[in-house]
Amino acid sequence: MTNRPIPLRRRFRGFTFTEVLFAVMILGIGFILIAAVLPVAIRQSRQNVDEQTARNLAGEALAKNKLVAKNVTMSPTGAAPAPWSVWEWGDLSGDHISTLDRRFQWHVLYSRAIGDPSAKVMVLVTRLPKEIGGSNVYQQSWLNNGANRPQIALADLTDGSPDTIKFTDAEMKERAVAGAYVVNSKSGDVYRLAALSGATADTWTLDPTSADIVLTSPTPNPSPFNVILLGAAPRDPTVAWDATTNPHEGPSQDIYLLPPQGISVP
Amino acid sequence: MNDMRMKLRRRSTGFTLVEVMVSLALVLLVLLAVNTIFRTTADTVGAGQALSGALRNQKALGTNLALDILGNSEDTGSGIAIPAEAPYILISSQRVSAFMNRQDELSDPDWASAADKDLRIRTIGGTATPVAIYNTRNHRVDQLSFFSKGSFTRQTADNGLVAPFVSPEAMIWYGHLDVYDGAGSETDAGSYPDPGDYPAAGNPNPDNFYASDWRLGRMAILMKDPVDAGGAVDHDGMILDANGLNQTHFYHKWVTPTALTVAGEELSPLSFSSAIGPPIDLNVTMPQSRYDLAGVSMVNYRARMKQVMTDMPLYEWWNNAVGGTHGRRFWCNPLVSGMGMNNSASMARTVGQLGRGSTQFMVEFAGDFVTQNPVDGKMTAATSDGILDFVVQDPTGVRIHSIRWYGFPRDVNGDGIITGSAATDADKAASVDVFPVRDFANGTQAFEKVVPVSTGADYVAAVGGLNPTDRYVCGWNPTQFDIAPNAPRPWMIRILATFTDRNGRLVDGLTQQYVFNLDRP
Repeated sequence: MTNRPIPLRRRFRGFTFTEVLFAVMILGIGFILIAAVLPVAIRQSRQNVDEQTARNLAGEALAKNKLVAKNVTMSPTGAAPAPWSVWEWGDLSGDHISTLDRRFQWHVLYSRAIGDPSAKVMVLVTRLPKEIGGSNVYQQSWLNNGANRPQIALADLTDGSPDTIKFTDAEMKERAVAGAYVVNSKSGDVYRLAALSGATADTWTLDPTSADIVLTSPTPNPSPFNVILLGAAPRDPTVAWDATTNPHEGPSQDIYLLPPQGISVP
Repeated sequence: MNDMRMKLRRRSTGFTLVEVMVSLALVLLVLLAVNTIFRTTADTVGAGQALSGALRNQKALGTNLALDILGNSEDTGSGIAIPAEAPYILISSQRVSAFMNRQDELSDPDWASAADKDLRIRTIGGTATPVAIYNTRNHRVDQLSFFSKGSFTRQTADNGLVAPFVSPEAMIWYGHLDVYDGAGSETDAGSYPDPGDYPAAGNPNPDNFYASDWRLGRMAILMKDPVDAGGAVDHDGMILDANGLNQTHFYHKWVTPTALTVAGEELSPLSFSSAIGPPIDLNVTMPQSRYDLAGVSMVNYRARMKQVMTDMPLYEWWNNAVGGTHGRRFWCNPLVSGMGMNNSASMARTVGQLGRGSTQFMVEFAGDFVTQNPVDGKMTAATSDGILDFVVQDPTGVRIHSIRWYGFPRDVNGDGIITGSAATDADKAASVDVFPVRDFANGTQAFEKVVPVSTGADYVAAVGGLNPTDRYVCGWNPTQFDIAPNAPRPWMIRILATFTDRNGRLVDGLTQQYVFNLDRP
């Protein structure tokens, strides 16, 4: 066995220019990857602040509703067990947009049985995620427009593996988006949309943290069910809905949902 | 042979000029990229930390406020005392001019030579910021005092003792703290300048001058009647902890709530100048943050307040109560001096601090103070009507209805105007700005103890805006609480707090708003 000497040329040879260029290119990619992490960190910090703002606003909305709730403004939604409905702002019509940060507004759902001197309320805080209608904050003039508010809709609920929701109305199909909440009007259960599935991509699977869909037994309610779609994707409220020219698009407005709280209704 | 020579010659040559230049350019590019990445990373991490710090302070404040005002949800008897039990609620609002930080001060080098420091500080680019526009060299330093029920644990103790002591009642105070200047005696009031106090020879203010240094504080003075061996209330008795040891506490110098004593002792043991005892020791008083226990129960203190109000209707109780005056705040020394068992006093002065970098603390309220036209919202009578006061915008159009908030003047909708008392009834009815009840009711109310000078229809446009020394102090005591059924008292409290970063990494700081309901008729 003999050791073959390494040629002198190979032993003393440095990196070629091409090698150096490749090394620099790889270094550049590394820097880009590092830089890509930074916006994520900033976004996360901002998200934490927004969630805290939303929590405080939900508490504020609940406090205000407790003060102004009256029999005439929070009329019964039906016989016990009362279904859930969307509360109109009434005496708080100028209070639903946060004065601190106008990207945030709140909505109230409530359930009150006939003759019951109390009601259950849920507060949803939404955040405008993008500019719509030339504004990046909610406008008071949009108040009476249902475009970006909770909407009662019809949907097929399926208790399966996984549970799924399918909207029947065309606009609801279009405004539903991952992250949006759906409240079962009858039971008050809160579901959260996760991803589209199905052959025609019109059926939503639910987020694992959602409530399970449990259909009333032994006589299941007829499908479709009344549900309330909360937040969902925004659209320009100053122009009529059109799936092509003025669609709901972008991420969900939903940011925080305060679970049911009891309030008295004098 | 020639080939060999050629190879050797080539091996021994260096890089060409072009290769060196390209290499240098690449090295420069890499350095530039590294520098950019490191700087951006540092900025991002710094801003993230600043934001996290501000958010942490906000959460601490929100949690404490919720427990003190709303109470523990599992204990329905806790939270702010209802009017039938509360001795008083006191809101004292004021603004001070201050630089945000050192960089801000350096950008305005002529202020120190000007006689009117307040105006010089507020002057930016030749234009004075109106005192009613906040968070730019103009900051709100409100105070809030009230009584609460719950489970309050002592945070101070005598030297060498750890006192396991819990009381179900406390007087709560929120506001900015006076911070030790690091130069004078730790037991001298002159060593604790107020937020924004101008530094002077002999009175430095190194840690409480810039707004981004200010510390927001919360003090809970626990309340308990001293009890003697027989179990009866005894004004000079003892308050024992779980170990049976007597607790040093603020002492009241009256035998029964109805027995008046010498002037200056009416509100003991919860006046701002209350001292520990007995025997009375005037060297240890309430603002020193040394002790947090007062020898009186809430029911007895309320009876005391009521008696004082009855016997001395002109007595300015709010000036002597905790939280009624800007120049009277609790002390804070965030640095513990010395170690060991004998530094309880030093430790005690650290506990009131909720968070640093508090550039603003504002307290506002809503309630039923006037009667309004239900359609256009105009005030029709300066008396309560059982309906929460409200704002009506666009009364002839879509009619937007919202809750009306009162307090020290503040521009809420950012239109650069703050409605003043001389505005038309229609303008006032539609204004969402915050202003004193006096301006809407066309007259100062009994609970409005100190009101800002009203200068016209717009606080901002008026000459000089508000008077820099203006205050708005509202106090409700048993005399007002007991007016049934529609007593003009707050139904809601709104608190806005801003925390920022000392190094200017958060431009406007982080502001959060907290709204709480109080008991209503």
